[in-house]
Amino acid sequence: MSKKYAIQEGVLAGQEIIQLKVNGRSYKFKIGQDIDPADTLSYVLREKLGLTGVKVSCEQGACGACTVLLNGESVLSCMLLVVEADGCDITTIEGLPSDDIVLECFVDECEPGYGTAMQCGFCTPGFIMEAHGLLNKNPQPTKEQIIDGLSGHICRCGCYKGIGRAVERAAEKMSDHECLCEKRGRE
Amino acid sequence: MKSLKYIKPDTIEEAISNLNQAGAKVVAGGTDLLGSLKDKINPEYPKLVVGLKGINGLSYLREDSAGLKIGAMTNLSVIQDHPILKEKYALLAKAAHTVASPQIRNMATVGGNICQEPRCWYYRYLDNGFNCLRKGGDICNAFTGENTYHSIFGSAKICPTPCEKGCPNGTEIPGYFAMIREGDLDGAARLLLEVNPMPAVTGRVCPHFCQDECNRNLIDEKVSIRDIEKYVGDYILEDVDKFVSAPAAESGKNIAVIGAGPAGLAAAFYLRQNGHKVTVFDVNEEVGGMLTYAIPAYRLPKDIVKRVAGMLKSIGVQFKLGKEVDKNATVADYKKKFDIVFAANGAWGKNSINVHGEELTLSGLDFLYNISVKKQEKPGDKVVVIGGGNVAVDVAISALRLGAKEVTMACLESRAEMPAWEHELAQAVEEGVKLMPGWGPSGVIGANGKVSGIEFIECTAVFNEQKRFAPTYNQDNKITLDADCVILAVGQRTELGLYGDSVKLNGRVVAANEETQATSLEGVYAAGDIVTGPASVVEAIAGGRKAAKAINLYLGGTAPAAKSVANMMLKFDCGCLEKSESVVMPTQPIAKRALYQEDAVGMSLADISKEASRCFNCGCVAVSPSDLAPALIALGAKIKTSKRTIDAEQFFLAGISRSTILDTDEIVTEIEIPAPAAGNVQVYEKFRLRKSIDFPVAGVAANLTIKTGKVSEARIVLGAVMPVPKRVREVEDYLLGKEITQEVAEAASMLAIKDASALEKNGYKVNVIKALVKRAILAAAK
Repeated sequence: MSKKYAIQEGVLAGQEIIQLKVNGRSYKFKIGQDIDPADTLSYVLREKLGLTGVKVSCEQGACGACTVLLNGESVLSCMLLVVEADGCDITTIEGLPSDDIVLECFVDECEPGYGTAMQCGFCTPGFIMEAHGLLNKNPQPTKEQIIDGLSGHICRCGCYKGIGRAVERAAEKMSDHECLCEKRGRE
Repeated sequence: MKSLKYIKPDTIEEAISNLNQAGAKVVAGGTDLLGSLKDKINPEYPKLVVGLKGINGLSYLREDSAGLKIGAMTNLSVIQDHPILKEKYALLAKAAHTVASPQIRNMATVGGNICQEPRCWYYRYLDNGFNCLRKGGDICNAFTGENTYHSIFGSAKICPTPCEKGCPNGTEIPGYFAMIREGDLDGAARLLLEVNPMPAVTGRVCPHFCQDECNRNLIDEKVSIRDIEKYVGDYILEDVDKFVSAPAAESGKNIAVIGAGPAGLAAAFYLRQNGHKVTVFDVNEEVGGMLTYAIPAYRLPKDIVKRVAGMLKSIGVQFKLGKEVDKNATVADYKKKFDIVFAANGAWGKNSINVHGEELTLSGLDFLYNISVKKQEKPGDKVVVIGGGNVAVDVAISALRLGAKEVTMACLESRAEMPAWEHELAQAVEEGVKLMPGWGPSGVIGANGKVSGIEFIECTAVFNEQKRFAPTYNQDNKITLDADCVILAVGQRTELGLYGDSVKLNGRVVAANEETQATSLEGVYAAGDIVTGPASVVEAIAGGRKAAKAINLYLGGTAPAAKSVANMMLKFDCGCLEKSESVVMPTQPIAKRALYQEDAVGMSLADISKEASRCFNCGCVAVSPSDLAPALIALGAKIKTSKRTIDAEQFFLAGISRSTILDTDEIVTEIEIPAPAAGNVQVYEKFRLRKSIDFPVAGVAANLTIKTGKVSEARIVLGAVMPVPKRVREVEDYLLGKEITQEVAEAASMLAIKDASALEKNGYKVNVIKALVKRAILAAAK
């Protein structure tokens, strides 16, 4: 038997509450009270949960600043209705551990010929989350794959070379890390 | 973002039942819809958004020997990365990989990609800033505006053009103009004859409401539709047998048409074409009604009307005229002898002005009638015509041409309110008629049957607040004009004796159904002035044609297939974007104008072809922005929906607020792609401004099969260069059996752009698509 969906004002019919797991914590939102069905995920993350590491710049899916991980894949949180993310696992920059390899590589990047990976830092959370999404799918990307994978982001300071290098480094370090674990396992 | 209602059903059936509601929108990945909601690009905000993410089992890739099946909710990132797709359906994987950015590909679905709305910035402007054709407006703003990324292969007919909407008869004006531009005068003639059996008449006397609506008025001057119509009309009459013939079979039904004016003739023509026996009755000796007896020959030569009558006779329409007609018979009497009666006896009654001395005046209609039978003498030296309409103008000009020294047209209305068409008034003034607007006759002076003058009082208002005729006068302001003849042209009225008491009336006209022209008496139809009150020739023709269609259906005939304007690709002449002046029909110099000789001199085919090339064809030039669309067509995909399975090639359509043929309660569920044959090579080439994010400026999907070095199968589809993806069959045919060389690829790419007609700012796209086609073909050969 299929459920009867009565449509009520501002309310997700047949369902009044949505659940999000954000950075490991579960949240419930009452539709019509805590959130409106027209709210985007970026709005709720920033304005309801205070996760202002999620940046909103263009609001039209072109700059990549609002990128978060949704079930491990990078998505644009400004182009997603929060009600559509119901039941999903979301990670923002705030959800990364302080010794996150990608984050560290971005912070440490200063190699001659590449420059830094961040100046003003506005685009950085988006790039970092994207790098995680990329490395989740493809732990050892080629340079070309990194460029392609990061192509949905804009850095107004123009640190693209440093950013690319940071992600390359992160991939290297992560695979070193895995190798180390493997070795340890064998020992 | 403005609040909205959202629902996430878990079955397709529930989704469909919710989409049935007006104002419901479907959302798959959301990356297209959210942008349009944020910017409120549409005149109406969706009342309900139906999300498909709750439906299980719509995201999958399945491969078997027959081919590939892709669930509609499959993300583009899955398609781009899947090893089987990369190997066997590389075209699709590559096309998916070129869409937008990685995050968007993680969100966007294949179903959503092929259903996305165009990216034209006029269409997508904030807060519906431009009510363009796609939104049901009258003009494509990009056509004459910013069109850098728009179509280079013509426009798409989204809805009837403003001129077509302006024509009471719905004439497909841009359609027959396009044929004229292509040199197909016969085709143009046939298209016109589908709705109008007498374009030679309307090309002379129709007020051409269409021209007032012409979008060219916005940049320079309207296209002179009238003069083109006249030319094509005359062309038809030169060789009637080429265009019309007697019906192939007789229906055995017998129809009486009462009245041989434009409504009657139009109905008779279309009824006869459907095989019915048609007899036209008219109390006058000649066919044509007002065309013959009221419109002066200098505007409409009587020979034209005779030839139209001849055309009808040639297909078997019979006429009973003058004394053969029983003037006292009613429609009920006719109905006893005929299966169907169509009554269109016009409005021949005379209005009265109720002033003393009225008996000394002439009737305008009688005056014109007498001229038409060549029995009218010069009415006098000083003629006063009472009336401000078109008949009054005809009377005034005719009086001048009969030799009157001074003709004055006096009417109640102010100059701006005068009901006559402006160009006719202009001609009257040009020929020397004096206009005296704002005066009402209060008495005609004279004795012994001779007029000596006429008194007027000032009219202060013709209509009351309800816009009804209720003139008020300033009794203190009077003038008297010397006159030796006063002619009344104060409107006609219907005479309803024909209808006895068997047909329901609507005040002083016959009540008829607007769609079918059926009256209250079964089997009796009516149209023309008797239904509308005095109106134009084209309205009478439209009424007659509508009645003929309804009668034919009533008698068990079939309705002509409804023409769908959607998906018609329109060509226009590139030069039409330049400013230009409308042609002016040459006329006789005033000194040479006469009563029985046509004023208009006529134009050459070159003149009217040039004029037809000024037509914008008024379609939408936004392009189909989907990368997957051309790829799926090239792969011969079928698109399965909740209702049917559609060939990918048939799926795309440019219509009002839509880009696919889907009904509002229909969703894409699956895409099927046949397995590629041995020797198959697939290439997708895309040009865009930035390597990521951007929509294609142009794209090519090529799917070739090469056997022993030669092309044995080819499908090549261009994206983003036309309102729908463009399959270039000529290129495909050319490649068959050929070995791909530089020369072959070059020739093929030339063929691909053969029909290109760039807009002002997108000529570069022609070169881009040419280069891409060549590159794709050469890449396939590698």
